[in-house]
Amino acid sequence: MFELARLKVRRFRGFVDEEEFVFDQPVVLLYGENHRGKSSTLNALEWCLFGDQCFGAKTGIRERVDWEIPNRYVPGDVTVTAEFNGPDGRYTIRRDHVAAGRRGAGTVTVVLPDETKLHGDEAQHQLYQLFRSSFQEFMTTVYQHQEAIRSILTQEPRQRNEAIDRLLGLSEYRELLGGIDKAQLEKTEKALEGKFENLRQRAEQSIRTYNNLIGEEKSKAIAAGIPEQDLNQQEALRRAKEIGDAVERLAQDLGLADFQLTIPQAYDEIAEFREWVKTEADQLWAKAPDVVKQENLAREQQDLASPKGNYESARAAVTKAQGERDELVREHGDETALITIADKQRGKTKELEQRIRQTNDRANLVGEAIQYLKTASLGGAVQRCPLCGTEVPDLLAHLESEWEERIKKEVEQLDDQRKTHKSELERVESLTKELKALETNLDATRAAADQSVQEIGAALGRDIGKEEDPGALVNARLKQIASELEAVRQAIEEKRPRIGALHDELAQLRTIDEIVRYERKRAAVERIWETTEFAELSALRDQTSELVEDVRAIRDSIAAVSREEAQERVAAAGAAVDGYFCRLANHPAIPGLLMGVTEDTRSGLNSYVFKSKDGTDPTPILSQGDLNCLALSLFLGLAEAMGETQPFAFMMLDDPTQSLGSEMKLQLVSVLEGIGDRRRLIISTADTEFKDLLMANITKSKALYNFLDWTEQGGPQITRPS
Amino acid sequence: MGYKETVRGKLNECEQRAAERHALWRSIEDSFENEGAEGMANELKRQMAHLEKKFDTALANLASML
Amino acid sequence: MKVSTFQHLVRIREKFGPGLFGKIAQKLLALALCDTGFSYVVERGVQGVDVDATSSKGDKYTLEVKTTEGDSIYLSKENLDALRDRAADGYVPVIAALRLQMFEDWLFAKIPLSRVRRGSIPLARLRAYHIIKLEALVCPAFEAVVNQHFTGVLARGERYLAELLAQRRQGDT
Repeated sequence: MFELARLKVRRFRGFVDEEEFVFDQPVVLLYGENHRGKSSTLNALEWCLFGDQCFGAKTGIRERVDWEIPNRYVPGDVTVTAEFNGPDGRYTIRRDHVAAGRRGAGTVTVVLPDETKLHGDEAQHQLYQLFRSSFQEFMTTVYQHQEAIRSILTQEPRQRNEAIDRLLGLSEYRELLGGIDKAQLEKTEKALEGKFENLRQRAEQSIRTYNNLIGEEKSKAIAAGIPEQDLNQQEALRRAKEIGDAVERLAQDLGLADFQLTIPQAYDEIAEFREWVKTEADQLWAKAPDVVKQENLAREQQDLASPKGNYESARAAVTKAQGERDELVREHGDETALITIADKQRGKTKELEQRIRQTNDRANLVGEAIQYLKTASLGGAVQRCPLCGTEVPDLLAHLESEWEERIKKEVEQLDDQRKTHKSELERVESLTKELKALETNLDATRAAADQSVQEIGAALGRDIGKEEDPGALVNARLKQIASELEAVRQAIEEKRPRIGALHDELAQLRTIDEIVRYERKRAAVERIWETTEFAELSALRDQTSELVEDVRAIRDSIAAVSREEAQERVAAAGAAVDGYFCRLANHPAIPGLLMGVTEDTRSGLNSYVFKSKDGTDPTPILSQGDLNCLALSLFLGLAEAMGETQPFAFMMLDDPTQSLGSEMKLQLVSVLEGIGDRRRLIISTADTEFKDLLMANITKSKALYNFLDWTEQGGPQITRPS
Repeated sequence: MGYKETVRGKLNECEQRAAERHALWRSIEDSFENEGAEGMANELKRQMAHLEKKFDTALANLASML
Repeated sequence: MKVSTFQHLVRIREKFGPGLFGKIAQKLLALALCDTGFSYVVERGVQGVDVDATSSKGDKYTLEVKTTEGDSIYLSKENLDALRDRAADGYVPVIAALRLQMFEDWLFAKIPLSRVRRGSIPLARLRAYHIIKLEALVCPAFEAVVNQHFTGVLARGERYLAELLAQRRQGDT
């Protein structure tokens, strides 16, 4: 067994300058308030012995996940040196961590009693040879961490089970199981199976769809008179050949000697053949001489109809214009006669206007005389002529009477006559204008008629002589066209049923082709399971299942092994654990404690059960202090079970009195007194009461290190009173 | 005996697929030792992802036949 | 299996229901084993493991036969006990599972009994243990049996197959 003699710590976590601890007494106390470096002192020994095994997730200690080794405030190289007294002498283990190096592991040097120095892997190997202890085992039976106690102090069974697993040194199994669960392979497998199932369902749906389509097409086919036994590939090929032969015959009958086609020999050629025949048959028909002739005649007929119509319209217009002009001449005379009449009227009008002027002059004179006489008489009657003085009784009245009865009347009569002549003149002028317009219209209609004759000539493709009747010529040609059309129509009508029959045959072939096509597609989907791709997919499903099952088997093995080890350790330490618990807790309602391990059926992890010796379940009545006692009992019990196989002759307890009452502390001191007979004790505590109890009641010699203070730049301030 | 040996011993109890499981356990051990539980989980995920990729390709090939 | 075979099985299931269908499938499987050269084929309707059969090479198999439309099968405590009993007699315990869906087929899985608990087992899990050679031998024979006897089964159900198996047994002895 190895006793710890000395420990030197430099730059490790909160430490700055090198601090030395001498373990020259059976009991060494590290005492001081929290955060002074007490736990770090114990951790330093851990790190010295185990390097990077003592931190990270796999320790199972949450606080160790992001653990820092070097002092974060005063950077520098870390060195921890531990000296052990072994069976053969002094062993020195030194671990260094260079500030700029990879976090954690450090380099280890071992100096043997004979001064042999070992470095690196050799040193590491030597460490294992010497102590044969893993970090887990060290935690289980040598160094009781305060984190381990804290984690037991929970009523949540899952967390407590995890904490006890850690206490029993089974954290690695837990970590392994956790990692396997995290990979979620079963979930991925399920997703892949889901994808396969989707594909399978799609294929099934595809087949159902094809079945429906085939059913529908078959019904249509049977309704169209195609026997069900004909709905196959062979029949499709046979019909295709028949259609091809019919097309060839038709081409010959239509006079197309250079027509060629290829009869399909394999089913896959039918679709293309169908499309080709459909297009070719229509083109064949379009190219048939009769059809061409029919189209040409119809075009010519259409081309003649328009000029014929124009000609007839033009002729009618000429006739009408001629008639209108002739009627006017008949009624009113020709242009010469009208001019003569107009001239006459013009002369008469002029003459009358002259006479009217003359009459007007006289009228003016008389009028003036009347005015004179009126003004001269001033209301009396005038008796003498103002010119010659002759006596004229009632001259004014006389003149007024003359004016009214003769002059005025005469003017009026002349004016009436003038108006009459003028009116007649206007009428004749109007007629002349009208006549001119009719003449112009007649000329225009004649020109249009000439134009339409030329159009007829163009349509007939010949000149039309003056002696010829264009209308008759057109009608003759139209009659001829009608006759030829009728002949061609009859010829075509005789052949048309063959094209119709061809289209019908094609339609039936299309129906059969569709059915066969769907059946082939359906068969292709149905045969999917026979393909190499399906076999490949099946193989991959197998491999996935094998991987998941293998991992499951490994997981089960890990869980089983973890449980077996837990059972072994619990069995080995059971009596001791019970003894320690009864002494420490001294619970009035728990006469003794039995501990067992079962499997959590949901997770496969270890589940620890506690029973009181009287058969009851003690967990509901366990206080925090009782749980601490349980944690301590487990540790002490396991350490005791290891007995002499334990390589280390010391035990470290870090803050063991969490939640313990005074009585329990006293019991713990009593227990430690007994352990002190077998192992040296290193105890770290901030609990003054506990420290005082230890100092007063432990009969072994004690050394006390006081952790007075801690500063960033100075590290822990430690004294050791003599 | 470390956890590696104990688990290996347990795997030997089942004859079927013993060789494959030992090989798989070795890869789990290695990744756990080097990268912890997280690394081990990633290694298993990687092995599964490899199969998944081939699976998806094969599935796509079959899907194209529908 | 072929789609046509699957459709035959679906019709049988529709006519007789899932319970009887399982028994019919079991008898059809037993006939298929006979046709592929297995001897001493014992098919049990009630107690014990469903089918025992000895291959031409002398390998003795004991099969627990399960049919399902879903993606898992259920093994009862009795199923497992029966398999263990026969395993103790030197038989290789096999779970024969048929998923009645298109493109699926029989799965013969030699899953270690120590790794099985009573309850639902996903078919995907059985794949890790499936005996490919046995499937390659028996599945085509099963298809042939279904196609050959479909009409008879549809007409007379389980009884028809029971008579056939009895005739085969007489032929064996």
